Amino acid sequence: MFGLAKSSTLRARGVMGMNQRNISYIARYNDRSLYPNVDNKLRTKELALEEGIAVPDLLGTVSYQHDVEEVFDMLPKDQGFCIKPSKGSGGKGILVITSRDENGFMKASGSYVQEQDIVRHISNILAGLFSLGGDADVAMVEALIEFDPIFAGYSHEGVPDIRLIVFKGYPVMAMLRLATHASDGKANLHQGAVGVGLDITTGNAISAVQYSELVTHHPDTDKVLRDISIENWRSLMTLASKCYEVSGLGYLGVDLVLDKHRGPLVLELNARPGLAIQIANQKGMLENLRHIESLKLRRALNVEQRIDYVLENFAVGR
Amino acid sequence: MTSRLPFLFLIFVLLLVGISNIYYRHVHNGVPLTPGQRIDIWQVEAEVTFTGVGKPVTVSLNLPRDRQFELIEEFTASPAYGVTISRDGGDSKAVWSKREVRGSQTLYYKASFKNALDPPSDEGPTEISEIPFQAEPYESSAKSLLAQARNKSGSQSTFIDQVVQLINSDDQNMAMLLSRYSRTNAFALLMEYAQFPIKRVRGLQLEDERRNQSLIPLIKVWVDNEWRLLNLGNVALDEEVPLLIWVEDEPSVLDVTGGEDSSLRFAISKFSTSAVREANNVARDKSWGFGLYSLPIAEQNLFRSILLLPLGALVVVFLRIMIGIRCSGTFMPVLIATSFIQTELLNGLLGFTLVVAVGLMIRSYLSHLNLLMVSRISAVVIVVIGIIIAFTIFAFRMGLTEALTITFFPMVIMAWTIERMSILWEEEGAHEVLVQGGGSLFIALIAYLLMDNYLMRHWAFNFLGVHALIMAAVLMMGQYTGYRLLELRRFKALG
Repeated sequence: MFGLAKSSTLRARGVMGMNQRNISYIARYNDRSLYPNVDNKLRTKELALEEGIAVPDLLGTVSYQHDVEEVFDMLPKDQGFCIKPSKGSGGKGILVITSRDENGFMKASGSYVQEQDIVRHISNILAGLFSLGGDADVAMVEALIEFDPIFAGYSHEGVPDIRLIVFKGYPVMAMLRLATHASDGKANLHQGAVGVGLDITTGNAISAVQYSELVTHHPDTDKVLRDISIENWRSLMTLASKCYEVSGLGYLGVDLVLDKHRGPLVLELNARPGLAIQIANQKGMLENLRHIESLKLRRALNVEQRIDYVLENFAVGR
Repeated sequence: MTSRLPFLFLIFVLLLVGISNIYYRHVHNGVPLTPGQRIDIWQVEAEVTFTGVGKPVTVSLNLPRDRQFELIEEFTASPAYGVTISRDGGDSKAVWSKREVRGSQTLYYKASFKNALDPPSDEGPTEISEIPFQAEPYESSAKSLLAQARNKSGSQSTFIDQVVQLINSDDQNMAMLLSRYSRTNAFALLMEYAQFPIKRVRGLQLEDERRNQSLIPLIKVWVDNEWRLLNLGNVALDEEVPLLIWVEDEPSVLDVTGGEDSSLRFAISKFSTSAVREANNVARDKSWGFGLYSLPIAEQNLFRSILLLPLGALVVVFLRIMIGIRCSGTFMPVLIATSFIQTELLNGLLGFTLVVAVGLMIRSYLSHLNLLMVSRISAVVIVVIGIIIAFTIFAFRMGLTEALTITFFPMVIMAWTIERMSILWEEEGAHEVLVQGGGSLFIALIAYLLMDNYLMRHWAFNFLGVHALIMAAVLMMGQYTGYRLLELRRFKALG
């Protein structure tokens, strides 16, 4: 009625709402003192490298306003790069440059920016424009990911990324995010990116949504979304599961990208992952979360044991 | 999860504190639930005059103790006299004294009364007076009158009605009694014969702007478990005007020793005052009467607006947690709503939209200047001030004086709003700006409607318990894990 779902139906299907996520999962399983592990991407990178987790290469950082010009020494001459705030949230303040030529630096969208625009962007980052709470921040320069050709034709202008929800070290739900023309090359679902729900045990597409509506084809390229199947899924699950030990956060969103040469890389971690993943999967995630909560184990399982447990218990018949 | 018991207990305590505070303020302090209620206050001035004859003088004036009225304040005016006002037990009197007094003297006692909030019920008679013995033929006259009345009546109250009728009739026996007694005394005598408990009282009619009034002798009869007040004198009582009982069963009102030609006159004036102010005056005088009215006016006015903020916060919490409306800046809408109160709604909405729209345009130019963030926001603050000045002058020239209130907007908040919206525009597109800007204005509008409601304003300031209730509501909503209303739409594809 009135274009609204019935709250009882949602509850029966195990859909988690924002309030429940905040109170029953984030507040309960994510210790606030551990937030800097994920909110500060530089720190996340250090921690991940210690655990032997693959991350995009860090080309350099800019910490002070008077060093801003030094950024041009770090930039690769023949490669794309991206500049992002270390404490940014929700993909804010990420400048992606795919190549450079005599017209300047080309953005993912095809438009050009000049050196002064890059300087201004870094100044904004340093002043804390994009950081949580407006704190002073550090600008990171990263090598651009060359995304795996298996996604060719599935993503418009942007890098597709894979979001996994990892609860107490167990991957419980996964989604592939594909940029569209409408989302302006960004992988944010509320801006019009396509979300493809993935079977958490196989990496095969289940269903796809754009603007919360079911879609079967990519709106720009018309490729059938149902055909998507991520290879080597277990290695992605393992990578995501390890991030539990890295961050210490019980309820964690892990963003992965597939690099053509290096395989899966951890792009960033999120202590407050969103709920749109449920729409992409056409399924609530409470069932799996409660399953994990009810586990009574005498000793904590290691990463491989956890993956085995998930593969055994969360399989969904297609 | 930790036990919910302490939490529920806290909620319970807050609710209890809130409700009992409101109950106490309303019932015991008499703070009305709606503003604008007025109560009547009577100022009674008793003027005692006498002539001194060079001897020490003691003047004792009995003071009223009428349960139907509450004494607000009293004072005496009397040059060079020692004055004590004593109220112990059944006795309450003002006593003036002076060593040597000559010539005409005037003493004043002034008191203000209001209707008692919850007058205690009447106490019954303590004893029935003995049957008085009267010489013949008065005794037999009385007895035959009583027999007559008894014949014509069926109950105690109709019996008394009959006696009153007889007093007003031209019955022979009655004429006999009235040849010796005043009407009041004759009635009292008859009542004593009939074994009805009576009280001789004297009352004052509280009629506005009256001077030179005196006390009216009256009789109270205990009938059907209540005191019935009867006027048997020649002065007709105005039923509309309240009556203050000054003395009960006391031989004299005024007692002057050492003076001559004493007299007592009353002057009455009535005025009405705000029930709220009066109630808080009362509360202030009691040491445990905790009220904001004891503060200076400037601080009171400050708290009047500060105490509206919890209401705004409640709206924000409700609309964000239960409904799921998004806005920019958590409590920015409350601050905007506070300015709406100053500017009036339409001016506020128009002014806010205009300033933000023009600010966004100028801000988009500033973003090309490669400024550091702090200086850019400072520039936006200055620009906002400029816009407001320009609008104000323009509106004044056009004769739109209502638009002058635009200056009430918090400039720094406006600058931050413009900055946030501008970033949002660049990052997420115009659609998100409309969603969040519209959400903020919507929340501000709801908060304004609540904060500007005269009942809410009255309660927020006069019943501090309301804030305990708001606190309880905010805490309870903080533990709400159900779906937000807008999530039902968001997850439509799943339901």
